[in-house]
Order: sequence, then C-alpha cells, then structure tokens
Amino acid sequence: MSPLILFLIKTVLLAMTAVGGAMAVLPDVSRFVVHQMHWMTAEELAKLVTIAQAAPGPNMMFMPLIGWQEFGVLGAIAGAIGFCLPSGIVIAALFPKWEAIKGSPLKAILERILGAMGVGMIFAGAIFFLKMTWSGSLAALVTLAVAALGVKTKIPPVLLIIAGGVVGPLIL
Amino acid sequence: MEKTNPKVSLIEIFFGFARAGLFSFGGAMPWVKKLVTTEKKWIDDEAFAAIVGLCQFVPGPNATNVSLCVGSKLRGPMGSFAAATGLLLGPVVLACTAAYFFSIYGDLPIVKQIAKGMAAAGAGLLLMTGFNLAAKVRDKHVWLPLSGVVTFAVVLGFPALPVLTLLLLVSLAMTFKRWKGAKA
Repeated sequence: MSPLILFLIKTVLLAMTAVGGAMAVLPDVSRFVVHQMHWMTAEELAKLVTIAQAAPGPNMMFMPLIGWQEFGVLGAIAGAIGFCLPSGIVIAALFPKWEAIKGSPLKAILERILGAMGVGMIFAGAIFFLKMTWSGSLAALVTLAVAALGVKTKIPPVLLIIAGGVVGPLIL
Repeated sequence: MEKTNPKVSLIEIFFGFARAGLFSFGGAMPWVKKLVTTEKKWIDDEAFAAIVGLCQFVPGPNATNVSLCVGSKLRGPMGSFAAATGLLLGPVVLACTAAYFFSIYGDLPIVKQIAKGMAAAGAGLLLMTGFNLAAKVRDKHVWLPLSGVVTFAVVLGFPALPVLTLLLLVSLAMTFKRWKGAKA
C-alpha cells in the first residue's frame, strides 16, 4: 500500500478517537510517525506540533504538516481532509438529528460522559506534549506561568506564545 | 431557534471562516465564536455554547467541528464544507511555510531557543484549555474522576479508542438508573 494512502487511512482512524481535539491523539500520532514509520524523530515531530500550536489555525494543523513534510502538498491535503473527514460526515449526517432530540435522559448522560472524557483527553495530550518538548525546569516554569496567565487573565494566546518565544533565548 | 435570516451565501461563510482561521493564534475557538455570534450574528450565544458542547463529544478537531456544525446549520453539507475549508486553508498554507523556514533556519541556536520557548508556552496554553473546560463540567465530583481515569490511562500508554469505549460502557452501566426508560 502506498505510504501516502497509509497515512491518509491512519489519519482518519486517529481522528475517530480524537475526543477532545487533535492534541488528544498526540501519543498515538507519535507512536505511528516516529516509532512505526520512522518518518521523523520525536524532536522533529515536536517542532511540527509547536508550529501547529503557535501558528494561526486549529491545533490539528500538525497532521497536514506531517503529511506535507513527508509527501508534499498531497500529504498536507491528505492530513487535513483525513483528520476532518470522519467528524465531517458524522456531523453532516447526525447533527440535525441530534439537535432535534430534546429532553432525553440518555442524551444528557452521554453529554456528561463524553464531555468528561474530552477533558481527560485534553490533559493527556497536554502532558504528552510537555514530555515531548521537555527542556528543563525553567521551561516548565514558563509553561505553568502561561497556563496561569491564560486562565486568570484575558491576555490573548498569541501574546503568550510570542512571550514564550522572546523568553526562550533569554533564559532557556 | 429557527433561521430568521435569509440563506447566507457560501462565499460569505467561506471568507468569514477564512478570516477567523488566519487570526486564530493558539486556538481557533475564540475567533470562531466572535465571527459567528458577534460579527455575523448567525447564531446566538446560547445556541453556540450548545454546539461547542456537542463538538467536545464528537471525536475530531474541535474548532473544525464547530465550523462544520455552524456551516451545516446555515447551508447544510455545502455550508459545512465552505466553513471548514475556509477555516483550514490559510492556516495550512501558513503552517507549511513556517515549517519550511524552520527546516532551513532550524539549526541556528537562537531559532532553537525561540522554539523551546514557544513550545513551553504552547504546553501552557494546552493546560489552560484543559482547566477552562474542566471548570465548565457540571457535577464535578461525579465527572472529573472520569476525566482523571482517561488522562491516567492514556498517559500510561494505553491506546485511546479501547480505553474510551470501555469507559463509555462502564459509565453508561454505572448511570443506568439515570437514563433507563425514564420519560424525561
């Protein structure tokens, strides 16, 4: 099977487990890209994920980036479409029906369960990203400071990222 | 909430989301919200919150899912396509360009240090998102433990899909009385 097709299929499969967003499947992505396919080192993947975080656009952007690095433009398209396709189909087909259901206790419980799982997945992704990009306790302090500022203040995320970039050469 | 405005044009959807996409540093959601509720007034705040809530549950990229839902509400499947493509097109081009420059200049020590700093900040933003969402969970003492189990299992290295499926079934079983048969 062509590696590009494999990438596309794997991307679709990963998207189907990405409850809570793209970062949630970062561990699985790393397993596939770094350990199974040997397309890049963990450091290189970390760089792509950082770009996806820092650059405008949703965080899932690292999937098109992996595809672009490995396969060029076709890979970027495969990464983008593959990751959005499952939810695209599910939403186009089911969202109107889901909206129409009112007052179902099963729906309410499902919302709680899935919501809680989404939160869990996001933290898992955050921890994994931290491990992946770990550069010492000073960097960890930056992470905590950004998290605290992000939660407590209205400082826009882009400024926090820029601040990180400025602080990097100074103290890291 | 029924649509009271006339059909929104696909072009408007595309360019609206394209603009949001290009501004969305560190996360697209706030910009999508601004576009949809404040600027274009396509959907009101409450309905938007419900969509965001639902999209937490649909596996897949969050902000993209929200754009798919909003597009669907406005113009059905074509609307979904216009919204998502708009949101992603600019960022894909920009991200690839950034990756290209990184591949050329990436070995310079200063670039590496900047990248380290940005990665550290990025990790902080992820934690922030997690905390913000955890804060919105209702009946925290009941549901946050479930979040904890998920985080624990995934960090330990268990594959996500089996873990999530198992926990979903277990949770449904444990809450059986709350949803079985009751006419709400």
